[in-house]
This record gives sequence, C-alpha cells and structure tokens, in this order.
Amino acid sequence: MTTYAMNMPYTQWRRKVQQYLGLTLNVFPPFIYLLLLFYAPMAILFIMSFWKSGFMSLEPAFTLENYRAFLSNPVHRRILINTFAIVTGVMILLVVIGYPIAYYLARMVHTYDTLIIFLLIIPVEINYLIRIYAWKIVLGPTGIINSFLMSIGLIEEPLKFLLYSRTAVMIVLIHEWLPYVVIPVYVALKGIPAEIVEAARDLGAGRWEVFRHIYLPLSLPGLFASFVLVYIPMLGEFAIPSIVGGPSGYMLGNIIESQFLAAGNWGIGSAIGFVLLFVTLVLVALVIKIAGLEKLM
Amino acid sequence: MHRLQVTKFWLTLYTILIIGFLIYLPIVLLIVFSFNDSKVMSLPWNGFTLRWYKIAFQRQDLLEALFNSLWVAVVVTIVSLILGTMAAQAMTRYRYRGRSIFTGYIAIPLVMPWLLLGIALLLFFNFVGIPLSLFTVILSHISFDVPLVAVIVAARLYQVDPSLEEAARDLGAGPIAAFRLVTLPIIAPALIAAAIFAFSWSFDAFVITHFVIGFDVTFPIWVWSALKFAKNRPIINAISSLIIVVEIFVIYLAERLRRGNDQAALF
Repeated sequence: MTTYAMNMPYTQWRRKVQQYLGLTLNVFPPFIYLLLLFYAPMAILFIMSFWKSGFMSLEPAFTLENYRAFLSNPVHRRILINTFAIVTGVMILLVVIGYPIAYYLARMVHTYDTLIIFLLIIPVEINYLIRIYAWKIVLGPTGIINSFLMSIGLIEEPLKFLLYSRTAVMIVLIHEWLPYVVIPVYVALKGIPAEIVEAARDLGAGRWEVFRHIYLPLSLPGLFASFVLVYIPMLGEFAIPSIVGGPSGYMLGNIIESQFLAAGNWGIGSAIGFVLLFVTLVLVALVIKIAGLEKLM
Repeated sequence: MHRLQVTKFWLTLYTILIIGFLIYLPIVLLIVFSFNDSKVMSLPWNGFTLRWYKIAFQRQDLLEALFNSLWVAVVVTIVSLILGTMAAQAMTRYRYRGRSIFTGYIAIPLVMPWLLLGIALLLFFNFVGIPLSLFTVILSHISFDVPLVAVIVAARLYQVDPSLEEAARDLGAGPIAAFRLVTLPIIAPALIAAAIFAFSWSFDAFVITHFVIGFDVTFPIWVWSALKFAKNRPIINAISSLIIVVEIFVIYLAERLRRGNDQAALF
C-alpha cells in the first residue's frame, strides 16, 4: 500500500514527461515536412510573383510588372472573367442538381443509400484524365449523343457545340464534382433527427416550411463544406478545358500552365497563381468564419 | 401518403438518370468501346476484339510508365502513412494549446488547388536546385497524401476511447507497447483504408506531377501525351478499362475497411 502511494507522484511525473515527449515526436515530423514541401513553396510562389521574369527563370527584384502584364492583357482579363463565370455557373448547377439527390438519399431511402453513396465515390477514385477523355466518346461529332440524334432523324449534322466548347467544360466539371456536393449535404441532412421534422409537421408546417426552416438551415454546413471542396479546386482546373474545352472554354489554369511549361514566363504565371491563391485563402477564411472549422471536418 | 409516394418515385427516377448519365455513361462507354474492332471510338459496332489489349501490353513506354507510377505510389504511401498517423495522433490524442491551429495546418493542403501546389513546387525545386525527376514527384505527392492519411486516421482515432490506452499504461505497458497493443489494432482498418486512398491518389495524380516530373513518365503523364495522337486512342481505351476495373475493386475494399461501423466520416 505504502509503496504504491509513494510511487504515485513519480509515475504521474513520468507519464507527464512521456506525454510531452510523445506529443513532440508526433507533431514535429509532419509539421516540418509540410513546412518544407507545402508552406515554403507557397511562400516562394508569393515572393517570386514580384521577381523579374526571364525565360524559364526568375531574378530577385521587387516589381509589380508581372501583375501589370497579367491585368493589362485583355485576353487574360477575358479569361479571368470567363473562369469565374464557368466556375460559379457550375457551382450553382451542382447545388441545384445535387441537393435533390442528397435529400432523396438522406430522407427517403433507408436501405440503399449507402450503396448509392458508394456508387458516387467509385468514379471519384477512377483516374481523372481517363474520365475526362471518356467524355469525348459521349460528346464528340461521332459520339453517342450525335449518333443517336442523327439516327432518329432529329438533326442532320452533328451538334458542334457539344465538344470543344464551354458547354463541354461545364458538363465534365459537373461530372467531376457532383459527388463532392451530394455527399457532404447528404451527411448533414442524414443527421437531422426525425422528431424535429415530425414536431414541425404536427404544428402545422407544410412541406415548404419544413424545408425552409429545418432542412435548409441544418444542411448549410454541408453546403459550405462542398463549397470549399469544389469551388476552390475548380478555379485551378486546366486539364478539363485543355481536353474538351477549345477556345471558348479556356480557363485561368490554362494560362498558368502554358506560362510555366510552354511560354516560359514564370513571372506572369506566378502572379496569376498568387491571385488564385489569394482568392482561395479569402474564400476559405470566409467559410471558416461563417461555418466554423469543426463543422467542416 | 400518396403524394409522398409520387415524390419518391420521381426522385428515384431522377437520381438514377443523373447518376447514370452524368457519372457512369462515359465510363461504361469507354469500357465497351475498348472491345470494339475499330480505330475510331464511335458507332457502328464493328465486332468484338481483344486486339487493343494485346497491343497495349506490347507498348514498352506504357509498361515503363505504369511501373514508375506503381513504385512511386508505394514509396509515397509508406512515408505518408507514417507521417500522417503521427499528425492524426497529434490532432486527437493530446490536449494542448494550438491543437486546432495544428489541425488547420495539416488540413489546408487538402483544399489548395493542385495546380497552385504544382507551380509552387516547381519554383521551389528550381530555387533550391533539386533537378526534376521521379524523386521530386515522390516528395510532392507526399505533401498531399500526408493530410489525406491524417484526416482518415484522425476520424477513426476520435472514436477510440483514450482511457483504453491509459488502462494499458496502468497495467504496466510502456507508451509504445500501449500504442502497438491497444490503439493500433483498433485503427488498423482506417490505416489500411488510408493506405489504399493514399496509393490511388498518388497513382492517379496528374496535375502536380505534370509540373514537377521533368523528363520522366508516370502513367497519367503517359495518358496526357498519348491523348494528343488519335492513333493511340484504342490503346488508351484498353489500358484505361483495365485500370478502371482494378480501381473499382480496390476502392470497394478500402470503403469496406474505412467505414467499419460509422458512415459519416469525411471521405
């Protein structure tokens, strides 16, 4: 008995030390890795956007030339606006298309919802380039849609706007990101207790009022999560517009890619990249401010 | 009641149509046309063939790209699993000031557009003088796979009662033994799922790889350059179909393991 009591403080002390040691050992390796290979590169991107641009290289300096070159170019400005138009349009379409599916899965199906969610997750993990490319089989001039419409005599010539157009970019973006909208909203809606809805019904609320006052506000965290998961990555898209886009579907990502890998003007590329980074950070901060970090995890 | 049934009917139809056409149609067509005996991927159907699969396996450049992707993904997965589990432990097992900042610090790479990370890493490697190769690809993939592993494992650790490990400590187990004998078996399914997701993210990573690979080739980079030539299309169809089938099987496995008892975790 006495030995036990005497040992207590020592054991506790030792545990405390081990706790701190364990914490330190767990925190530092991932902390340093991301510091070196995520945060430092991001900082370099920011700093170098003010450097003087040579061909495929940058020289230390402080100049706003890269930003000026980007913003004074009318083609770049048009593509900047185009990008936000495409991404915002697709985001709205995603919510309009995805919300009913999430609602259906969360509130109307009881056994098959996990299966359907699984069906939504599968394509996300299938190689991204392969899936973009596969849309050519659907949308192309000799693709499924055009062949079908021509065979039933509805059109005589293939619909040109289906491929290499802004429409194509938007369709493929919806294909790519729909699961990221449906799943967070589904999770949020699924968590609403049935009693709340019943209580509202008993008190005379119609279906619209139930939606307006219960489902919508309680699914907002899910919508915010999907906004962060979808809107921001879409701003940096370049593979989809390169493969199915054509000139009218050109996006900011294409300029950045070509500045870095083809044109060799890393300065302008970095400046555009930083504009994108800035927008990203503002949007993330805004969503965290409104929704809270915990709700997004 | 009747009205509810009608709504349910229309919503069922709607969900099937949207998932069928917007998500699955191109994937299914890709697989179907990989067996079509024609150089163009369109109707009419010219008969069944395995020719494209045979040709795909004779392409040395394709096999090399696949092999590169495989071993890059293996190395990336091992390192990410270790660093990611450490991060998950620090996010869930200890109380300290700045824990939510640390969580944000680890999670932010997950919402960063990959294009930005790609160009930032290109500038970084250029700045510190590391020549671009598969090695820089590995370094880059780890920086987005660590957060992925951390989030998946942390979601599981949140549900593990910390007093289990304390009980083991009270019974005389050291901290490492307590982790190995108590916590590890409980989080093992999450670790395997995290490994599978980390592997497939690395294997499929195109955007970042595109900027940091230099002259080496991984599978997505091979696809990207092969897409430019129409004659490659049947071969891309064939190899893609094979990869899709393998990936579906692997994801099914990962999902079974990750879910365990809960369904509401971040994917």
